[in-house]
Amino acid sequence: MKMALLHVSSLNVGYNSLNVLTDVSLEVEAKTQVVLLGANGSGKTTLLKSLIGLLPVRSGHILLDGQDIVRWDPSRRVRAGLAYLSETGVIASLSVEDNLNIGGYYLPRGLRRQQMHSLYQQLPMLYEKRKNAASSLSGGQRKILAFAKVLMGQPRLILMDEPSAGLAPVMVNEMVQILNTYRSHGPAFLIAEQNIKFLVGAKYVYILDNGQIRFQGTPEDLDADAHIKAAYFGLA
Amino acid sequence: MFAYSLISGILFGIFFGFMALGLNLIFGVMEMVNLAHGDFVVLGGYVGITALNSWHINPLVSLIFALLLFFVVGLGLFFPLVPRLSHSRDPEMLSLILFFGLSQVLEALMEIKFGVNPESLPLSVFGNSSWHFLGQSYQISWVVSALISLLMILLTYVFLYYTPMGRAVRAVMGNREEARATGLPVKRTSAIIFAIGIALAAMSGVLSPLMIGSIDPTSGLGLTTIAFAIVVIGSLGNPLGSVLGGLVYGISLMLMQTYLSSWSVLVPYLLLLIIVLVRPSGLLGKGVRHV
Repeated sequence: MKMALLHVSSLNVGYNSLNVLTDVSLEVEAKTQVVLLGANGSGKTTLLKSLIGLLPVRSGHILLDGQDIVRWDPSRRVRAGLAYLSETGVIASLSVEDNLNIGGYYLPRGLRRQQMHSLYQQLPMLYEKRKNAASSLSGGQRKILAFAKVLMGQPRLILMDEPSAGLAPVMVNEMVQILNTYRSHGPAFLIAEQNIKFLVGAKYVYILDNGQIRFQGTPEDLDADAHIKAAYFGLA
Repeated sequence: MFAYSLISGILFGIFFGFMALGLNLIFGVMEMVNLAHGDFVVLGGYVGITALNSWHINPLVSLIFALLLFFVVGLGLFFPLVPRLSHSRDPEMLSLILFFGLSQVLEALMEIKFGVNPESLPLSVFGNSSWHFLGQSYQISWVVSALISLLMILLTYVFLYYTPMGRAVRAVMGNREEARATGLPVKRTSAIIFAIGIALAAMSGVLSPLMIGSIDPTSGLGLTTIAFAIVVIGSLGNPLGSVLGGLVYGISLMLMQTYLSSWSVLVPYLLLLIIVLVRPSGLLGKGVRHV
């Protein structure tokens, strides 16, 4: 059997006596988009943070290319090809260009320049504002910068924490469009969301509820499952 | 008289800005106030004095030696102390106690090694000539010290703004959690900044006997206070702020010494009070820090 790019098995994560994630298992194959749906407090952010190494796990395994990275620190995971787009996403006090630069921290100088150049061409707004502090950008522009920042490092898997959070509906559509352009370019995406717009183009869906995976399947499976749809999205 | 105090204030200000730089870098990256900062300055002073008296080594050479030696000392202190501190419940409070203790230990060790008498460097150590400017003359040792300080401030600036490592440092200063989430080597960056902060303190210490007259093992506390005042005036965590803070302090000190000399020791405290009342985020601060 071909090994998935990311293979998470029986992950348990908690703070003190509280268990936040219970026995979570999931897979992301290379170059695909996987969506992790769940309400606020369902454990989505906790899951992504433990995947990138910001939170320690109690038990379970995180395999990247078959290699167990569960004890690695975040910088080593990033060097191995993971990237995490947090809800903050940018460092507000740094300029737009420096945010991109730290996103590509581990690239050799020449490649970093080249990557920045091509991102500037695709997202001209960033080029215009490259000298401005990230704090001067609007919420939507910050999200775009945050996305460009993770792309800078040429990761193989991008963990996205609620890309739609705090965005106006128009900007959400723009985010979805930007995602669609990049999906064909190589990186795989694991997107934690509440907004079902991100299901467009997704290969697989997991629903996280109260720290446990309650559903997994293709978007079509989800669409066909009236019970799940009613329970989680209030759709009849 | 005014021109003299202004120009010497600028020379002193640049030196004091350099003296405070290490404190500011360490605070910016680790959000810990190194209360032993002044003691590392004094240790640097003893390196310069001992090297000159015992081996006839010029302070210009001792500067390099102090930089290298205290970089290593900084790394040696960082790894056993700081990571453990950051994992504790209240790192900021505990760091005050820890560095206060370190300061007391260093003071005691210096008393054992060097005795309690003040020691100094001859003002002629960089030559006997003086610098004539606008009809006044200034000690050449002041001018050389200010120039070296300026050079080191510029090098720090270039490091922070034009190297990948410096960008990582500013990222950690801006948002430690997001820097970690980006995958930057936060711990290594902290270690290097801690070591640089201590090395810069010791380097400024080599020059300190020339600027403040003499040092003794208890000088550290006063120097920490001055450095802290300068950093708060400029704005905590902003490395450029210490230069501005240094100039404000240096010029105020010199004006005070010229026109109201018996009050001049109050200068750092007065400036600290004024800035905390009027602009608590410091002159370059963009709003009160969020912790």
